[in-house]
Amino acid sequence: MANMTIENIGGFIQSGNAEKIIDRGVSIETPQAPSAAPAEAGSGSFSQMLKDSLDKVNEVQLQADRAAQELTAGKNKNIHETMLILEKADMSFKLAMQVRNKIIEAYREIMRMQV
Amino acid sequence: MDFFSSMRISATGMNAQQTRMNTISSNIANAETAETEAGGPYKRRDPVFTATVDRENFGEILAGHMDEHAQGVLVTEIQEDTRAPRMVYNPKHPLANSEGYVAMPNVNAVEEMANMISATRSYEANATALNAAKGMAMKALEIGK
Amino acid sequence: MSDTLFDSTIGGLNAAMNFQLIRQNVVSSNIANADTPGYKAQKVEFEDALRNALEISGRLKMEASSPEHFSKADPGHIDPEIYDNPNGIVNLDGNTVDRNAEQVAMAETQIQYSAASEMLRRKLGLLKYAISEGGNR
Repeated sequence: MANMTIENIGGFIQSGNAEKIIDRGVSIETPQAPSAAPAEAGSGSFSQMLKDSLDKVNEVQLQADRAAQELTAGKNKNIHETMLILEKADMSFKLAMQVRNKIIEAYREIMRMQV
Repeated sequence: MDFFSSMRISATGMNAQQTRMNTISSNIANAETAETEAGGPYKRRDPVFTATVDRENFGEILAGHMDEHAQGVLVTEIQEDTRAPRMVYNPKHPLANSEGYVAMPNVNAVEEMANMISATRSYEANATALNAAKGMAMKALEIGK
Repeated sequence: MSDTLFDSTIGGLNAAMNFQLIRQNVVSSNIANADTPGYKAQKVEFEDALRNALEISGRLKMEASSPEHFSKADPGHIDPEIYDNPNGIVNLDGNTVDRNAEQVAMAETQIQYSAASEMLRRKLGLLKYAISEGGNR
């Protein structure tokens, strides 16, 4: 069990009832914090979903950066829209962070399991 | 389209009303000026207001994305009133004509006062619009607090 | 993502704020030009389009049952109507600005904008609360 990776957890979860929850694709995002999975994952796998979500979160962060730059540079002066994009970026990231915490928690839980 | 252009438009309005106030002051101050450098009595002046499309910089004009509907106001000209001068009978006045009448400015104090009130109200309306835009912008900044 | 985490209400509020902003601009323009001879007062109308986009108009809505159908209107891509205000007021110099009506419109715009901003703030606050597990973290 020592070399358990995120994929393993993914497989573990998918084999169980939790599959439905994940497949419903709450399209949540997760940061790369959980130790990067070494193995290549096929599309549709848990790690792939994780990766896609991470890309999305990153994209929103970049969008927020661009919006902030445009506001300060006077290119775009729509304050509420910029604020909304910043908030979206903030919340996507926080949600991703929560998902990461949950995954790590689940990983630890499994690690503690007596075999 | 943003609050800054709204505020700029209100500022043009306030500027225009200020110019109007200046001309009114000039009219009242010169209500009894019978001789001017240009010759003849002082002629009352009026600013001419023209609506102009709000544009902040050349880039905006090039980009062509300014909105035709949001227009500021500009004083394009100070016009002289062409009404005939007021003729006052005062034979002792050095500028009196052969019949003893002096050409006095065509300024009517009551009219100027009415104009002044109108200018003040318009200025206030613009100031209110500016404050409203500012309040809205500040409110937008509260999103996420 | 933005479809699941951020729902159409947020998009609608954002769109409404954009329109109120345009309205504020137009009202400012009308007030600034209240003394400009020949200036025609402008009016902004967007509520109908927004109602349709948000599908709360009460009318029968069109279903997109095939991917080839046009999708429903997106609140972010509605064009507000801006036209000469037919309020019937014409001053001696051809100016059609009704100062009192503009003040009213301005107050209304300000309130609506603030209200939308506040609702947006609360909606986001709710999401934040959920993400933080009810403030536990």
